Amino acid sequence: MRSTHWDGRLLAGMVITGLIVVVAASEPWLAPFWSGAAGPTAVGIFASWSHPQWAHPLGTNQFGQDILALTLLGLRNSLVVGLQAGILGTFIGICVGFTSGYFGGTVVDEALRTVTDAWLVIPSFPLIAVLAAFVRNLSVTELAIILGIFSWAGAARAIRAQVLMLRSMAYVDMARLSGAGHIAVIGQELLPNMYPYLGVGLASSIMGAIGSLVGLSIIGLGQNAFSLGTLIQYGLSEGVLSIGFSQIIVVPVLILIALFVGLNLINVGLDVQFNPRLKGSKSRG
Amino acid sequence: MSGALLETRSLSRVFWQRRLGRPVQVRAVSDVNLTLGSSGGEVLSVVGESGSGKSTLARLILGLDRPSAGNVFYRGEDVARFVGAKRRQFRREVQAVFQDPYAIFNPFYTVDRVLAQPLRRFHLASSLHEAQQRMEDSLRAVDLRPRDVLGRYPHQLSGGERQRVMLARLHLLRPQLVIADEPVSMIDAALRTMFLNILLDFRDAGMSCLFITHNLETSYYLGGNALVLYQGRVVERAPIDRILHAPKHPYTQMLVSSIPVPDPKKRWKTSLPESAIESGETVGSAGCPFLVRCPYAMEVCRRQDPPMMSVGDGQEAACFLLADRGGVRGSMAPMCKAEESG
Amino acid sequence: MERRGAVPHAPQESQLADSVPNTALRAARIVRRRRVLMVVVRRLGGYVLSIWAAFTVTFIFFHLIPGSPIDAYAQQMENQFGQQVPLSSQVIAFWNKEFGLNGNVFEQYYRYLTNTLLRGNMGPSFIAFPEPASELIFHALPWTVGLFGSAVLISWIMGLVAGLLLAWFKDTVVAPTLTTLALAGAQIPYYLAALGLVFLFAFILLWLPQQGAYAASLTPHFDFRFIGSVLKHSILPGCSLVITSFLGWAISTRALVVSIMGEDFLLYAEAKGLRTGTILRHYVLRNAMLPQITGLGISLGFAVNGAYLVSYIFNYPGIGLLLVNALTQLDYNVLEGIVLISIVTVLTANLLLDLCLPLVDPRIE
Ligand SMILES: Nc1ncnc2c1ncn2[C@@H]1O[C@H](COP(=O)(O)OP(=O)(O)O)[C@@H](O)[C@H]1O
Ligand SMILES: [Mg+2]
Repeated sequence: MRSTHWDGRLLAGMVITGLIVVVAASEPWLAPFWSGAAGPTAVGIFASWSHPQWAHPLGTNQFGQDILALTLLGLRNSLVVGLQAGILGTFIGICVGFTSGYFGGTVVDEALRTVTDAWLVIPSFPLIAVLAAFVRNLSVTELAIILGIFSWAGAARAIRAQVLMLRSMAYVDMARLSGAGHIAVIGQELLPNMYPYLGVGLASSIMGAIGSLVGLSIIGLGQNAFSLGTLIQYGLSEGVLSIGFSQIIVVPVLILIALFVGLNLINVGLDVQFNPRLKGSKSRG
Repeated sequence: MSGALLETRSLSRVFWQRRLGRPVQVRAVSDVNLTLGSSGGEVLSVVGESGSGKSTLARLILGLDRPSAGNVFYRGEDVARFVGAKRRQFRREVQAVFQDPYAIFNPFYTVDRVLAQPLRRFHLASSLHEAQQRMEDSLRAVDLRPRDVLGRYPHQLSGGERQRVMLARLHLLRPQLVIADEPVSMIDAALRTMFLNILLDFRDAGMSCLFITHNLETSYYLGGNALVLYQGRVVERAPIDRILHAPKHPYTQMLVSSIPVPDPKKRWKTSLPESAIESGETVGSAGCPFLVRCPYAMEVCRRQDPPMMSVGDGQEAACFLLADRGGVRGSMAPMCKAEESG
Repeated sequence: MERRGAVPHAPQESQLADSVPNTALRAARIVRRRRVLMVVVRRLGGYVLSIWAAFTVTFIFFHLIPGSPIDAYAQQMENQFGQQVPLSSQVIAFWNKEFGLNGNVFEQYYRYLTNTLLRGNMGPSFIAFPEPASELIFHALPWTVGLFGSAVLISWIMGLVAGLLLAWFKDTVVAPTLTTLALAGAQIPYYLAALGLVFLFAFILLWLPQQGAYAASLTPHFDFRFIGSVLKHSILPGCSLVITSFLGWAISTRALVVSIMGEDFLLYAEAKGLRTGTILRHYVLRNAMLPQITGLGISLGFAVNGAYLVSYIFNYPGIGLLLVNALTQLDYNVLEGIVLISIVTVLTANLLLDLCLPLVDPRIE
């Protein structure tokens, strides 16, 4: 099963996503190059609306903030919130999906599946937006929690299907004959074979969370998390496209597109690389 | 029956399946009674074509699945009620060999796991060194070289090697009872004999065996009693030579006649003459399950499910053809008692 | 052992053979009709049940979130007069009654269910008090459904064709590359595509209008100029949806077609000497269509709530823009109405699919 051949799409996705993550993670050291010691959000340090130049590669905005430093900050925050929400969503998805799949066909499974299906039908964006609008001063962590709670259902459904398939494997019976209980079977027999799918679940949860977070910021909600969407929202409200400062919108949009492409390539690549059918036929030979 | 090692009473398992979008009931195991005596070293074969419910029966006995009705008793106690230490002891004493020697290995781990895990969980070795020693001994006992096996991943072994690792597991755990579900149907002929010989050695050492097969020859090789399963029901039970040489149920006769004969002049017979019932005719649930395939079907077979009827010599079959010989006895007395096979 | 032959009963049956089929067939037909009716009734029951569950959950949700229309009103007053205005008890009672907040929770719940479910009445709007919230929503709905419904249809058709081509040419160099590109881009959110298009067309190329549903100088009339303006204004928002969702359809169609082309009956058809076009049309497309039709139904159900932000970015007077406006003014009833209408469309689309698929799919009874 441990094939040494890596799927090209998986590699490409990891490289793209990895680059973005590295840049975002080094924001605390990178940003001061352009924003100075006061930090990216300090107001009035530089001249307003200066066009791109050596000291400010993307120029400055109305408040004299360095746009590059702001973009880096927005990227970092978007990723942090996305990761927190994605981990929470995947965790809930794992719990629900595993329980549902392991007890497949029972009342427990029936109930959990109904909840999952309902969750998939619920229009999540308006609900998240309503929460963000009514709960004033939503902290970044609270926002991440809300986004996570709304992004588990897809992962749960995928994991359930996978567990249902794995559960009927003879090695699960073998483990039970060796004296393993439910917890040991789930943890030692099923979970290790699920790692790639957990990766898929995590990547899609993160994509969902970042998509919603940026969307919220674009309509001016969740202001405590300064995300790439916040920059876009600022750009749209200032009409920067028509005054020659389109980089305020275009750069965040490009970064986000690259991020979504990278994460989705990882998803597709993991699926191809660890597809049980392909895997089985390869290793039996 | 308190002396029995294993006993099932009216064991049934019903599955719900979807056919054409509608749920239908499948009686995978239906009202099965069998007994394996407690004297040790006994073999009982379960013979049936694929889909007759053999694997389901094995899983029910092993406690991997719950019966819809009826009970499994191990040493007189209901398996479904085992908890805690009792359950652990049952797990330790009753083991299995399954059909597919690949699927039983978790691809994530090396093959050692199927040996090391029970040692650890059943506290069978006091030290890592002892555990290693015992694993190697057991592998040698089934003609495997430890260094060819230990530390390898399942896909690096051949099918025969993988199945012998399962035998090594039996050697290691020395269960009182092993449920073997078509253990040799997926390995080639030379290994098959070797596998069966090792199993016979274990039997001589006192291990009882419920041997499940679709192949009458392998069960003949092992000896003992046999029961024939058709659509989840026991249709005939007898010592295996009686099954082979004087089958009483039409289905058993069909199975026996389809055994390939090593005679070039004789054609291999695959089936009996056409059934007397027109194909496609639906049969009510009341009648004999074999009705549609039976060449001797009678009017009574449509109305009534034939009960077990004894024909003497420890043989009985569920067929109305026997009604006027032994008389309808309707006896459910298990025929595979320890005293008879001893 | 003595063996007995079968009891001869076959002749009797053949005598009956002439008269049996007619009655048997009729009986079978009645049974089938009754069974179909049962299925329909069960599906409808499930639909009603899920609608009720969704409405209840929505009720609970809107009751649990902090703040109330009264707070929102006070906030509005404060914004208007620049200072906190103490609300008199009459004012509070008035607003409570207007928004159905008088009485205990069960009374409120009962009133909510009867009003929303039976009368389609979601209470007054806040943005445009006292206009009913449902009025605002039903004004916005046609724009959203028209624009995004046709966008979903167009992307579906394009995706079907593209997927077929990608599958047919899968052994060339180009197709796999294109497939990978499509895979990479399929999950990009609509609003990013929308922003990209705004930038490209409205500011670099200056071809297409990027605000509103029709030119501001026009009033809605059924004439060519107005329709032309509507179409022109719908191009950018429509495209931002089509671009990414078309990739998704292309990928799924390709996967379906590739798996169908691997099946035996195609080899057989080829061996029979059928022409490529015939094989494609009669065998491949027919088999690939069914899952894709199901997918189309589901997507159409999501048309109302798929692209709020696109509507906002293009200032398009659909549900999305209404949502954003309602959010900024904390307009309870409109928000609740939007959530409810989104759920209802998804569930209704599912119901219609369940009921209609058997007509198309020979495999389902
Ligand atoms: N988990 C299950 N769910 C539904 N039906 C099952 C299940 N397991 C077995 N069956 C059905 O029970 C019948 C007997 O199966 P099985 O015990 O595997 O037969 P055998 O081992 O003799 O080939 C078959 O018709 C099979 O379809
Ligand atoms: Mg089997």
